[in-house]
Amino acid sequence: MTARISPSAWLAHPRSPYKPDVKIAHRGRADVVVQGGNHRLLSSGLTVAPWHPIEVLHFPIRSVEQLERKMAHWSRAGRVWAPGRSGVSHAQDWFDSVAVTDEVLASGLAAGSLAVDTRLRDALRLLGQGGSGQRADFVPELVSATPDDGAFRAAVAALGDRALHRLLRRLDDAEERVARLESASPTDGVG
Amino acid sequence: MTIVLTLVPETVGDGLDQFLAFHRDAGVDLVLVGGQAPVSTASHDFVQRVDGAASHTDLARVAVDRFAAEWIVPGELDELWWPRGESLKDVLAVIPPRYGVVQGLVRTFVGAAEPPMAGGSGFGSRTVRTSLLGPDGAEGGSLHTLLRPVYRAGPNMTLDAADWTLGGRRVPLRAWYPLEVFRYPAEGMLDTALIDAGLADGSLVVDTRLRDALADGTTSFPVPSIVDDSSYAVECAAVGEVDLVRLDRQIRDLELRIAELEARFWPRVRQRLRRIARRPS
Repeated sequence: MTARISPSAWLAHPRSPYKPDVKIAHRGRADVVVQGGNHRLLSSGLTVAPWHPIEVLHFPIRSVEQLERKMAHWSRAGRVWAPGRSGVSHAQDWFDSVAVTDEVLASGLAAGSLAVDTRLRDALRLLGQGGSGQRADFVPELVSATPDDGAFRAAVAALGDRALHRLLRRLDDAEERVARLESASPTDGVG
Repeated sequence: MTIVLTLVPETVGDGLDQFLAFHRDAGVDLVLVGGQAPVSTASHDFVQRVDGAASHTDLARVAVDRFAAEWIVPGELDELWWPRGESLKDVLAVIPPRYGVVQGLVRTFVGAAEPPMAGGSGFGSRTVRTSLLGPDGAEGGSLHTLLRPVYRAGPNMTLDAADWTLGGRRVPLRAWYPLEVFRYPAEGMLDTALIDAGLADGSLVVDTRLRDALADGTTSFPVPSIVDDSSYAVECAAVGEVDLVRLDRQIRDLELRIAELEARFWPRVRQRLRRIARRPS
């Protein structure tokens, strides 16, 4: 799998599997609380670094069988799986609704919204060829393969939009609570 | 899911049949018509006139009470609601329950009509529209000119054209607009030179989706790919609904409202405490 999203704006679709996001690595603390999905910390006391020195190469959709396992895990964990399109209820439907065809890949590469990223493939090939004795050469080759800086900056900017979007969402929730306090009859007119 | 489109037209032009056929194919279950303009409902079994209804709010309440509507689309006769999915139902079915308002991104078709196809649509023959990907983006336009609301339905609901969220009591889905509103104003056509200039700088684009969708006689809606959605996300960002200035303004407004609530709250508490203190023990 070498095609990946190269976002230039925050894709705010609430159910899109392709929303740009972050994962966290944190200093070890006994009282740390990590949100499900590992996107942020729920506990206080650790400050988030303002830059992204690590990329997480995410492969969320790999096969119908893998999606079946994912849906089963979610079900066991008591989570309700919510598809991005109506009428999608099985792993095969899900896979078909989000898989990128060759035609879509070609148009995405032309538009810059998709990129071919072979870093992992190349790294795995190097590891497979040389074993641990080749590690001295391994890091420089990966660094030279780092993709386009402009695209990376655009992706980071999209993450900034995501942070703003989340703040606004919390503000909307707070505004709804204030509006209910203001109203003598909280549901009048809302529907 | 029941979707009701409400109409309160001032006048009725010659595009009514196309308007109704389009929205029926898009997944609207019922069109309710209010106001005084003469709209013939005889040839459309999913159109009903509501006597005495003078506003979208009147019609929305009828839609909920009599027809168990789940979503209300306040319509205008020169606007077509284009779903970014197989249908309006397909798009609205996956909106998380917390959201009470979903917004459509307005696309204004500015070019004169091309010669219509045989039996074709007057709407579909206009294919040049505005884009937010041009050098000026949204040109500082207000959100109410760039977007249109669709409402999750409920009893005694009020539709306020100036305040879609009713002071925040409805939570809007922000920065993602799963519907587009194709707008075909009768006036404001651009001449060829302006159209050529707009196409050159990207503020105008050729959009044949409606014409193509109508090609086989009934409207069919293509499902956007991730590439389409990525490009669309850039336009959604250009609307500017999520930016620091707007966030700052919203926080200040909320702070003022909280201050007013506090001003109402403490005098009541003091009054209550005085009453308790005066009670004989």
